[in-house]
Order: sequence, then C-alpha cells, then structure tokens
Amino acid sequence: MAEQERFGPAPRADLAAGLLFTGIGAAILWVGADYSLGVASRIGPGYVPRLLGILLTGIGVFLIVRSRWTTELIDLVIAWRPLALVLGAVVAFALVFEASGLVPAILVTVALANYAAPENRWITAIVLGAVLAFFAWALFVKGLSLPLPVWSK
Amino acid sequence: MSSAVGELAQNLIFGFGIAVTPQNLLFCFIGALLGTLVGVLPGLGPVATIAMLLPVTFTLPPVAALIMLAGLYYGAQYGGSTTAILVNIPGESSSVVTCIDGHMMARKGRAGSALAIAALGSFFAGCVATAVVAVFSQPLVSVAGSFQSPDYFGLLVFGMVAAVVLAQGSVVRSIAMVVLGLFLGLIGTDIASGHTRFTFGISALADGVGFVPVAMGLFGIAEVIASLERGGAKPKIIEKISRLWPTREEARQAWPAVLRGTGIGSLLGVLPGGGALISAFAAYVVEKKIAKDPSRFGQGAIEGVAAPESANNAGAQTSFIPLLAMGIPPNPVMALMLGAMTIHGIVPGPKVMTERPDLFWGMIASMWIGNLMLIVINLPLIGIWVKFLQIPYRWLYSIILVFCCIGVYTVNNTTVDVLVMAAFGLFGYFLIKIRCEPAPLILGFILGPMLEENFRRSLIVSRGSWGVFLERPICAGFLVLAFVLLLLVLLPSIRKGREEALQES
Repeated sequence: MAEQERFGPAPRADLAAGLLFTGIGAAILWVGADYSLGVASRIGPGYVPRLLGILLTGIGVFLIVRSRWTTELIDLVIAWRPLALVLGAVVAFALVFEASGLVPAILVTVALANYAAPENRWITAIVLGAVLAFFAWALFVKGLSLPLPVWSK
Repeated sequence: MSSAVGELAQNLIFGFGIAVTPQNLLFCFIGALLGTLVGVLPGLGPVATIAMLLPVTFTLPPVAALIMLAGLYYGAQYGGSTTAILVNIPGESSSVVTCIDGHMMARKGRAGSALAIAALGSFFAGCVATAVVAVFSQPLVSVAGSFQSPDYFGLLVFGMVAAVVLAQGSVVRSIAMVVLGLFLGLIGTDIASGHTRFTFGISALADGVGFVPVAMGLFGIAEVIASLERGGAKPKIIEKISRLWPTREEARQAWPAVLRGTGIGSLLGVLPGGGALISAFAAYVVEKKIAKDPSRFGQGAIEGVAAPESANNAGAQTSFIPLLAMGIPPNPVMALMLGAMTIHGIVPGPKVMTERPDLFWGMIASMWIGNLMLIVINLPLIGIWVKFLQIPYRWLYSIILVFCCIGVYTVNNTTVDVLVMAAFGLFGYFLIKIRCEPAPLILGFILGPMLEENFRRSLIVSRGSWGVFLERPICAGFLVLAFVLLLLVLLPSIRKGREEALQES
C-alpha cells in the first residue's frame, strides 16, 4: 500500500471505525430510548436494541483507545467518478423506472454508468444499452412474463 | 445399523430418480454452467447472481429451482479458482487465498497442474460433502429436535464468533460489524409487540430492511465501484496452460492437503456463519501451519491450491445442512435459498426432510451429478472460460448494474429497494475505505431476528434469569467455546500468527 504515503497522513483505521461505531451506537441508544424495555421475563421491543447499542458504543470506545497503538491506516483515496456515476445510475434506474418503465430505465442507467470508466465512449453506451434493453425485455417480460412495465408514459 | 444404511441407500436412489429427470438435469447443468461463469468473472458473485435469478425461479417447480441455485453456489467455487490461478484476481471471494500459490504456480509454467488440482480437489470434496449432507442431516435433525431456545441462542453466538475469528481482517472491528448487522436486522416491526423500531416514520421500513437490497448493495454495487477504482492496469492473463494434469510428485504432495481441506470445509460449512469463504481461509492457514517448510507457501506450493479449493467446495455444500436441518441460514447465499424456498411456500427446517423428501433427496443427488458436470465444464473446456476472462470489465460492470437493479426490483416489485441498494452500495464503499469487512455485517443482519427471538423465548422460560444460558449444557458449551475462541484470537501471539498466515506477499 505504498500509495497512501503520497496523500499525507491518513487517520488510523481503528480510530475511524471506532468513531463510526461509537456514533451509531449512541444513535441507537438515543433513538431507542423511548422504546419499552419490558421486564426481563418478557422483554420489550427496546431491550435487545439497548443491549446492542451499549455493545456497539463499547466496542467503538475500545477501538478509539486502541488506535493509539495500532498502525493500520484508512484509505483516503476516493474514486469520486465511479462512486458518483455508479450510484447515480442506480438511483436513476429507480426514478426513471417509476416514471417511464423498464426500457428507458435501462437506457438511462447504462448511459450514466458508462462514463464511470474513463476509457468508455458514447458508442459503448448505445450498443450496451440497446442490447441490454432488448435482452431484459426478451428474458424477463417475454420469456418469464414478469409484470414489468416496458414503456409507460 | 444395517437398516439405517439400507434406508439411506433407498433415499439416495429415490433422490437420484428425481435428479435425473430431464428437467432437473437441465437446471442442474444451467446452475453449474452459470456458477462457473460467475466464479470466473471477478466482480460478480453468487449472492448477486442468485438474487438476480430469484424472479426466474418464481416460474419453476421448487425442486428444479433449488437444484439450479445450489449448482450455482458450488459451481462458483470451481470457477473462482480459474481466475485466481490465471490472472491473480480472485474470481470469487472464497478464492482469495488460491491466488497466492496458484498464480505463482502459473507464473512458473505449472498453470495446468494448478487448475487440474483445483478442479480434482473440488470434485473429491464435492463428492465427500454430498455424502456428509446425506448421512448427517438426519441425525442433526433429531439433535435439533432436542434443542431449546437457549441452545439455539448459544449456537448462533458461537457461529458468529467463529465466523469472525476464522475470516480475515481485524477481529474487533468485525465483531462490531456483526453487532451493527444484528441491529439492522431489527429495524422494522417487532414481531412480539407489534411496535415499529428505528423506522423514522418511513412506512416502507415497517417490514424491515430487505435482505436482498442490503446484500446486493454491499457485495454488488460497492464491489463495482471498488473494481472501477482499481481498474486502469490491464490484468495479465497467463494463457499458456501446458498439460492439464498434475505430475506424480505433485499429486503425492496434494492429496493429503485435499483430504484436510475437505475435512475442514465439511466441518466449517455446518457452522452458522460458515460456508465456502471461511473454509478456504481456515484450510490455507492450517496447511501453512503444519507444513514442514512453510517458506514454500507464496512460492507456488501445490498444497496452497489443493486445500482451500477443496475446502471451499465442501463448505459450500455442507452449509445446506444448517438450513435444511435447523432452518438457520448460515451465510448470505443460504439466506437467499431460504428466500427461494419461502417463495414456493416451503419452510426450511427439520420438516423439509419428512414433508418434502423429493426436494431434500433430489437436491442432494443433484449435488453429486452437478459436481460431475462441473469437472467436465472446468477441465476439458477450460479454454472457453479463458475467453470469458478477456471480456473487458468496462463492458461488464454496466451489465452487472442493470441486472442488479432489475433483480432487486423484482423481489418485491418496488423501486424503494433499488434506492436502498444504492444507499448500501455507498455504505459498503465507505466500509472498504475504513477497512471494515462487510461480510460479518450481513451475517449479523441475517441472524439478528432469529437471535432476538431465541433470546426472548429463553428469558420467558427462565422467568427473566440470564442464568438460563449457563444452566443448559448445550448452550453453556457453545458460549464457553465462543469465549475461548475469542480469547485465543485476541491473545497477541496467536493473533500475530494468524495475520502472518494470511499475509499476501
């Protein structure tokens, strides 16, 4: 992992994980504070979440303390382009599918996702999109007769 | 005794009768073929593929559907080694350790031997594991019959601890991931009280967070982003395979490792939390520990291919035992199997064997047939799979994404699940960055509701006393074992050994 040196000092993995788990643990305890614990012989909906919240916070604090002595670092390099485009493509699938059906959703998803890899050009998107749209229609709609709206207005 | 053997033989003959019907043979073949493909292609795993195929199984008879999905899981174990050996990329997460020595063998011109040992070891392990499932499911069903809630609780805790200890990565962080997964599993309506928990008033969350979108987000979407990030450098495929057969010397070295790997895999597959992945890791660590000359590992030791490849196939198959005998899905793939069974109105658990013997014995028989098909698919036809390895990833990932979206949507016919998948894709990428393993999270997520239910019932029986978990010998035994395991792995000297054993050059 020689790359990491190039990007200056990264936080330690235990510290980052410790903060995350402490945060989530505290959030569980805070949100779950209103849930009834019940009695031990008939535990309520809040009992197990309370236990898990305490456990998670405890482990988180332990990790924060331990991070003073551990050396493993987190990876600070974020691949923004694939991250944004891949997630965007999935979200777009959900939105376009609701609005106009399967085929437009596939075309839009492929069009967005295509540019997550810098070496892809528009022609890849068009060919892949067309092939996938046809294949999905043939397999899921015609072949398996799943109730998917193909092209709604 | 002889009557038990006779009964087993009768059941197996009955099973083969079902497995060899043309339709079931066809779906066994499709499963094995798809499994090999999924195994060969990096970035596409059995979890995502089975989830995508769930809608297909709606339209099939349940036996054919499960035979196909099972074939896909153990088929992926065969295919994964091909990529690991030829490209030094794990085609499957359970082939990670195979890369170390397998690829080194290939670089030294012994690719053919490595591929052959991997396939033959997998075949041997598959045959043994099929027998293990056939022989041990019945006794385990009766053992499970005597289990009470505290015992299930103890077993689940032990399974989760063992899974964390035997896998790679920081143990403490992995435990936290299990706890986080357990919590995510509780989101939604509490079965006992009817209260909604942690839904923030969002009605779509009242039924809980779906398993399929979470698994596909963490393993499918996050993996695509991470692969694109690694991208750039073209993987170098070693195409010169030489002869596809080990030398006598190699066979002599490999077969004890195959035996050990098969044993480890068969055992660890049965554990809740077990399966192909940890079996392969454990088998590799054991080989390195007991080797006379551990320095050979990393330099192309054939045991380093034989043991994990046998173990992952054995573990994949025996992980059906907890699902079929106890109704506990020990890993994400089995959780999907559970989903597939539920779709067809079959409740996994001890009753499957008596109520659906056709399904139970048909599936077992199909495993043996599937392994036979796989050895043919993977050895003589290896050239075809090498061609598949040449499909550029920049085409592949768009296809994976589209099928993930369609697959997730069709499980519940809602686009909310697609958005949940995107959210967990983001979370999964974040976890990779801070070096937390997503696998323990999904394990906790699967077992969370089951753990809470058995915990609750135990406390009802004991009238609120936690002592119940130590009073029953079975439960106490599991909990003590879990505790000892944790203690062992957290002791610095042993932890060091574990880290060294898993170190990649």
